[in-house]
Amino acid sequence: MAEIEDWQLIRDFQAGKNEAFAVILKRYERPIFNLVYGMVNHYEDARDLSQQIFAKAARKIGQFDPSHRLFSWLYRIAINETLNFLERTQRFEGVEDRQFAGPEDPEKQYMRHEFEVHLRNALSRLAPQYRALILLKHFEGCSYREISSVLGIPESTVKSRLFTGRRYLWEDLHRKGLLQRHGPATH
Amino acid sequence: MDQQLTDLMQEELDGALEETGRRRLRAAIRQDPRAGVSYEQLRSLFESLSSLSRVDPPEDLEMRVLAGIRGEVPESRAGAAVPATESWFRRLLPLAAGLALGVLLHSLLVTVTGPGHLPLSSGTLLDPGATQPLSALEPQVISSGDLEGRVRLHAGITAAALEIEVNSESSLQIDLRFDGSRVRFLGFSQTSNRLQLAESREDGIHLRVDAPVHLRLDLGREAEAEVVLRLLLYPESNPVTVTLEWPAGQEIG
Repeated sequence: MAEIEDWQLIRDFQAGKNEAFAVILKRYERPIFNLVYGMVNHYEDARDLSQQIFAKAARKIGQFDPSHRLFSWLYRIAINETLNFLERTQRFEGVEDRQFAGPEDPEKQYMRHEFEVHLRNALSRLAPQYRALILLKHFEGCSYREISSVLGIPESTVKSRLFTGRRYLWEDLHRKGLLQRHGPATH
Repeated sequence: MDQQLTDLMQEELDGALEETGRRRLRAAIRQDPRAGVSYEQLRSLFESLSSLSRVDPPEDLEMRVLAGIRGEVPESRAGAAVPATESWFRRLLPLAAGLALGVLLHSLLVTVTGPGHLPLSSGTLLDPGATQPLSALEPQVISSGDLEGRVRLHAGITAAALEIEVNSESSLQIDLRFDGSRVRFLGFSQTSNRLQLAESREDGIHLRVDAPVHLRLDLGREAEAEVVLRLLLYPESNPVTVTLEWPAGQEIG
């Protein structure tokens, strides 16, 4: 069966069919949750923020411009809500030492896990605006244009900020000697 | 490293560099071996960023959002003051219906089954007095050969937590359930330097560790319910089931 288009789901939801929003949720809860988790590095906060983001999306669905893509609109809400949250709490707790499933052998998984913790910590040290760009690019696989659409900034700004953020990240890891010690190229 | 050059590298790694820029980049790398090293490091960083592990969203996220849309659940903690676990706990309230609310928590029953019964004493409840906002159990020491752990149960103003710390020389699987349902791991941290494997399955998260483990169970504000927690700790060759029963009537918060 063909997948129902986002615009159709939105129309159904606006017509009072809550189950249409359930489909939207199923479609986007994982990327949104992971984006938020990548930003806040805290599972409970990511859960609560994701709930808040989808609740807001449901409330404001009438404001969605159908000429844009739904994921861009959801990502924009997600980024804005998360940046507001981070600004409000100004929290930095380091990265949860959360474990992730993986098919690798234990030693390889351990190495990957260790580097990932360092990487997430380095990401946490970046200004949230840079962090958001990097996560959208690498974690969500967005193009410059899509990021531009999500954040409402010109593509040239996306590029320059993305480059700056990644350079800071690279320099941070480099200073700590982590690129040589743990980088995937050395595995 | 020259910023223009790193920008070229980034553009190339993003797949957005045009031919002219690519030629400049190649020439720069040919001229300076350090540029080549930097390029490789950047490439590794890009790969690592793109392969960051994904986390499973909470199982009840969808339910909570939809309930909120129907007006059944207020907005989440991040936006309002309602505990995020309220809807989760609501489902437990029927359990409490038949239980006497006035009965004070007077003991913690700890039973152990499985091969090699463990000699455990009952837990001790600390008086949650005015100066002591947390009710807590004395740490329990569970030991069975290569298995050693501590179990603590305490309740805060808005949450109760079951914390389990386990130290073991051998691999363990830990499976925490609530009333037959999977318990969500709301917060989880683990000393990683001896991690072996973590698996997420449909019936719960199974962790294999040989390092200290810290689990937290958020019980929410409304905790007037019988709580039976089953903590299964089983070394691969020597399964042990630890059952914690928390009698009804303890009001938290």
